Amino acid sequence: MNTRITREGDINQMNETFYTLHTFMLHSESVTYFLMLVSLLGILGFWLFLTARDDDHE
Amino acid sequence: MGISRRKFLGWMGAAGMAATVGKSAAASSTGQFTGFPDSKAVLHDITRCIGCRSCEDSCNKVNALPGPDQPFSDLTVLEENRRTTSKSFTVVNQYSNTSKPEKPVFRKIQCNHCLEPACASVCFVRAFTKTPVGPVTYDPDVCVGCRYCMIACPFDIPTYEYDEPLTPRIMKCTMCAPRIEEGKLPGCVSVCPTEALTFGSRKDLIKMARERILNYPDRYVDHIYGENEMGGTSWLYLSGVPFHEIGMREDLGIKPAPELTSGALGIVPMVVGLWPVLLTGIYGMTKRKEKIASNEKAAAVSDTLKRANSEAAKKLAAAIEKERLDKEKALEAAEKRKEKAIREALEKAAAKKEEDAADSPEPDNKKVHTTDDTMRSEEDS
Amino acid sequence: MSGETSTVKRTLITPFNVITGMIVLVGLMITVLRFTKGLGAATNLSDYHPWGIWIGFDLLVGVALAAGGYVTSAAVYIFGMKRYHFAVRPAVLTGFLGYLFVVVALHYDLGRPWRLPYPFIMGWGTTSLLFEVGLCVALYLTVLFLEFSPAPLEWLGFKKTRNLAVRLTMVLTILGVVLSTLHQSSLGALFLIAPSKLHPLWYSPYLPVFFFVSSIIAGLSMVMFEGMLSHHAFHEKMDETHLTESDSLTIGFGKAASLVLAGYFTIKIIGVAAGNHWDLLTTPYGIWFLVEIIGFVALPCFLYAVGVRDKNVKWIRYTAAWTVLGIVINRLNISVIAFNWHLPAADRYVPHWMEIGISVFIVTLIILFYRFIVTRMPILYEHPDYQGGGH
Repeated sequence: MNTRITREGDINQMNETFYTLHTFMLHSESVTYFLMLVSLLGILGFWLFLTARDDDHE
Repeated sequence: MGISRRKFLGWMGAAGMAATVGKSAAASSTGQFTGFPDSKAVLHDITRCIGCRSCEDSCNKVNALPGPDQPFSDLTVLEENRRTTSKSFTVVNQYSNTSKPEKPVFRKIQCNHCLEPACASVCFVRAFTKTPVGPVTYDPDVCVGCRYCMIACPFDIPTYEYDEPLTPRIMKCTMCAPRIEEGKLPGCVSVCPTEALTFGSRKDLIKMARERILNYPDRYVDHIYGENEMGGTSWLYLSGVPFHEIGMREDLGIKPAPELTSGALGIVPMVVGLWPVLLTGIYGMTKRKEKIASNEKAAAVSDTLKRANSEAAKKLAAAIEKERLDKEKALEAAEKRKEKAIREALEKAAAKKEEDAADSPEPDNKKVHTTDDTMRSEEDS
Repeated sequence: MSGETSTVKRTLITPFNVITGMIVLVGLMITVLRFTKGLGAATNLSDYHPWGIWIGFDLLVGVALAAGGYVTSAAVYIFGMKRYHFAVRPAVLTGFLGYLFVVVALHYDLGRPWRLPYPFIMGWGTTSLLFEVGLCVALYLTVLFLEFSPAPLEWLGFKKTRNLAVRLTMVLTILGVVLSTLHQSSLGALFLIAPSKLHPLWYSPYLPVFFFVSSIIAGLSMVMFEGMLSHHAFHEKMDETHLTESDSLTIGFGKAASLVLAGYFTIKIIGVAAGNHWDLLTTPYGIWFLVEIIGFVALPCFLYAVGVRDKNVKWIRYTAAWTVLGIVINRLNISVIAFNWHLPAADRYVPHWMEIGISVFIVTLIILFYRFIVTRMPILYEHPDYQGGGH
């Protein structure tokens, strides 16, 4: 029950934190920038994983 | 009621937080932001302004700005078309009244304190903040001085200390945020002698403005400037003449500033996510093509080599055969010549024998000599 | 910087050295004035026009014309045009110097230049397209530095580090294209926030696309234009491949530029259609817009095509110079000429001679650095120790 209340609080915060489009975008864009960094590193790692057993691997 | 609502939300949370969060995000992306509740604003009733410049004076003192070039009591400056500068956060301009030429119109200019400020949206160090109370404030401690806010502001409000070599700041009206914090009125509002400026909750002021338009339809244009312009501002205007006649742009639209750039910003992660995939794909295809090409080339080379080899072998065989035939022919010819020579020699010898039958018997020497000649001719061929 | 200029002066009094020496001297004097008296003393910037040619030319044009680095390395390493490999190093060098001096020039324009890293250490104003531009330019400058690094490493003889840098080529090329796509387009997107200030013929939601596509044109044209200048100035520094293959490169890049210009012309027209601004074409600004679109987009597109069909290398190179001029005009139109078009003439901006002085100073520094590097490092020829390495 306790956890549910906490979650409710979180949800309320989610709904009430962003009064303006600007603050909402600040938040979402910051998350996006972080994810972009992760994805750039991730795709490199994934490419190495994908091609590691290629016959013509140099 | 409160408990049941809480329970309901709890259930919602338990049922699927993702769904709830998704819902709120969806509402956000449709632009359902209403701004801070109970934020403050100022209503400027242009019909009440008499152009006394008291607000300019008060603003100058409250913000401790350098003294004006001409004293604030000098009203001749009203005739120039002035704008905000780094030394004056607010100015009052005079405009001719098209419907009542004997009664000029005065309008006060200052930061409109947008609900969705363009300056804050474009600032890459977040120097601008839309405070919950209403003012848009500026923090010079993080400002880099790029002046993008000045490019972005649709009202041409932010100004810059161009003569400061080391510590230039963006200068603009603060709506007297520190005074509001202390419970005081903004400097300009506090001195206005005609109540052309009213400070209060934005919601209340919009109601008040509507009432004025309703009660005095002849006095006002049926529009509250700032209610929706650029997503709404915390400085609202009522006027007796069309707003574009007093230098206020009516073509700004009601789209909040951040929406103008959200599309371009949204493309950025798409490029980051898909470009490497696309480019690596093209690279892979290029490489594959190169490999196939090089394989084909190698095959072609070996094929050509083979063909060349077999041709060479054929040629060689033909040459050998030809040589053999030539030799045979030559041998045959030599044989024939030999036979001929022998025959001739024999005939000669026989003839001579008949001639010298009685006196010289030596035919064998000559015969040997002729055979030597034939041998030599065979070698030459 | 000053060492280089003084050695140049000491060695010979040639017209080139005298002129560059004078430009550098004047540039340094303006620099002192700018940083002691402020922007107001050296520029005509105003509260209406906070951005002048230091942004319009030094930043926007600078970045566009430095696009040759990513265009050439993408053509060679990703699209497999290995024949043009010899052109990668000069293009990457120009790109690197271009971006480096964009950042240098930015220090003049910014109010507090030493706070340039603030966006990343205390700001994180992620809603700003300028944040995105700053981040990409900072990262791409690093990428270009690494892409360029094999040349100085070969020159200095650091074999192991050089080979390590070469091994990164593919990753750097792809990262370079991603970052270039982003910041080239975002430079156009900077102006999306000001629909009320930029003339409707130039303002378009497609601005980022226009900027990206025209950066490809700028990159291709710049490589050809530079090739022309290098052939005059550094002929003796070029190896056999460089001398024999550069004609085929010019024809190949000319063909590509012609094709991209055709696409750019199409989307520019579609931009007018999308905003339904046909009626504005007959106004003075409309005529200037047509001059840009017809004279500096459609015309070079056609001229390139003629040059390619006739295999006329000289013709293509002159067209490249014309196209580069077109890019300059386009960027200045958006940032200065068609910006604040609605204001009365008295409130409009005309650059101060000192602003032009600094822009010329910066271009001169780029040329001096290019010359310094090209005459010393293996840029226009392959280093004998590393021949046929494919890099």
